[in-house]
Amino acid sequence: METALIVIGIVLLIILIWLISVSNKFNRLSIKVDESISGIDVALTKRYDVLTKMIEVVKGYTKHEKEIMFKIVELRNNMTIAEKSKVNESMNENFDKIQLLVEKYPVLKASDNFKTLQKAIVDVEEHLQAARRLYNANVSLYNELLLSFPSSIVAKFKGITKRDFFAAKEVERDNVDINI
Amino acid sequence: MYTIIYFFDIIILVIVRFGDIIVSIEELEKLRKKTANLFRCGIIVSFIAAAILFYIKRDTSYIFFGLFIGIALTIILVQIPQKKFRTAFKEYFVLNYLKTIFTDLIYKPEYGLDSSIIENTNMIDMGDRYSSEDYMSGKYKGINVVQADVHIEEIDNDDEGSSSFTLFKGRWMIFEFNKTFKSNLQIYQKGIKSYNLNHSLSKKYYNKVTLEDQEFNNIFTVYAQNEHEAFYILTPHFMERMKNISNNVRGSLLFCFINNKLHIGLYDNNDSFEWNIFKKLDENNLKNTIISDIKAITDFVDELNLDNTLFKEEK
Repeated sequence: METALIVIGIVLLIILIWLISVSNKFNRLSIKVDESISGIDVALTKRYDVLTKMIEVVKGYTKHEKEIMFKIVELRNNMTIAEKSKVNESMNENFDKIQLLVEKYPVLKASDNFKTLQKAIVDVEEHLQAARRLYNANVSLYNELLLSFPSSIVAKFKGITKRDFFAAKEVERDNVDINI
Repeated sequence: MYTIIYFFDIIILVIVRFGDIIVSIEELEKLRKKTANLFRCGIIVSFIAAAILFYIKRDTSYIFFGLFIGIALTIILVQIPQKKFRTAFKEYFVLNYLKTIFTDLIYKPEYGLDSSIIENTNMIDMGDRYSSEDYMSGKYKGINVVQADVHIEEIDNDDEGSSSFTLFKGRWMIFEFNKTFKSNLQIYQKGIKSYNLNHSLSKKYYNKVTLEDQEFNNIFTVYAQNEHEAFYILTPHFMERMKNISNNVRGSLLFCFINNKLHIGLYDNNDSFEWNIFKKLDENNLKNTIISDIKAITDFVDELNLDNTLFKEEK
């Protein structure tokens, strides 16, 4: 009887240690995911700033082009990942419009100010892609742990839910004629 | 012992410097043959001397004594023509081929990289004995490149004497990198033995990073001070190129991104820009050997697309 109680005690202790370690693993991964969101925020803010400056420069050269409307969804605090993806999409649309306009205005294309901004946006894009990949890699690890058995039991017990990936199209730099 | 060898080396170098440097392949081939024949003759004479000594004294220990003295004398005698050959090979032929590829070229075969440069990367154990030669710096496609042969050894002293084992032997190359970054990133090709690597306390500031490319993760181990910068530098295209390079080079690779520079250690147990005196020399194989040694440097610029300045901030 005593031996059985000891065995049960040891088994329960092992289960408890395992529960704590899995729970801690979820916490660690959750912190990493949150940290990587801040990377996306920084990159999106930088992209927004550079794109706004670019639009100002473009507007200066294309005053008579009434039909061209630039509208970037503004960044707010506490946005969800889906909302951030939308902001990014709106930035992509504006960037595409700029690219089309630049082709029509060789003077704008050749201006030093625009060239500097174009170079800056390429680097910002690269940082955004890095932040997105890091975030998605962390989310992937988190979701993998959440869905795999037996850690899924701990997830259910703690009420942990899946995290969303940051969807963004890769910037096809090869198709953009930068000519710096 | 090493001090004696060092002084002996300097004396030979002074003697070699007094003569004119060879500038024709035919003359260089003649010198190579002479050096190789001198070496062969020395070895044969050593064996004959050892046999005569054994015949006279009837004691096997005299065989070893005769061989030891004979081989030592041969090595000493061969030093001057061998050094003359090496100097001509490197300071005329290698230099001229390097000039066709690099601009702003500095090539100093007798000099190497300062050990502190490699130590600062925190990549490998610096061991007890460090030597470096074949220092070269220049510009290729507008990119600053530095390279040298490096040999790092660990010396073990015990009751039976001292023994050494190699921690790193190969090339160390430094390239100007086309992206700006603030933290350090280290990448080891798997297969490099753990004892060769640096396990110092300063490593605690690095985190192991898993990239999304599983094939890349199977070939390399990545440590970063900043995970975001690791993903910024290691784009999917760049990882693809690194995988291609790892498939094409002989030996193991170490990459360190530090101070906006890319350090690459190629651990292949080889000396670059050397010619074996027993190998026949003609214009074609001389050119192929030197060009292949130069390509081992330029391939990194070409393959990794380091001359792409799209991300580089203008100064």
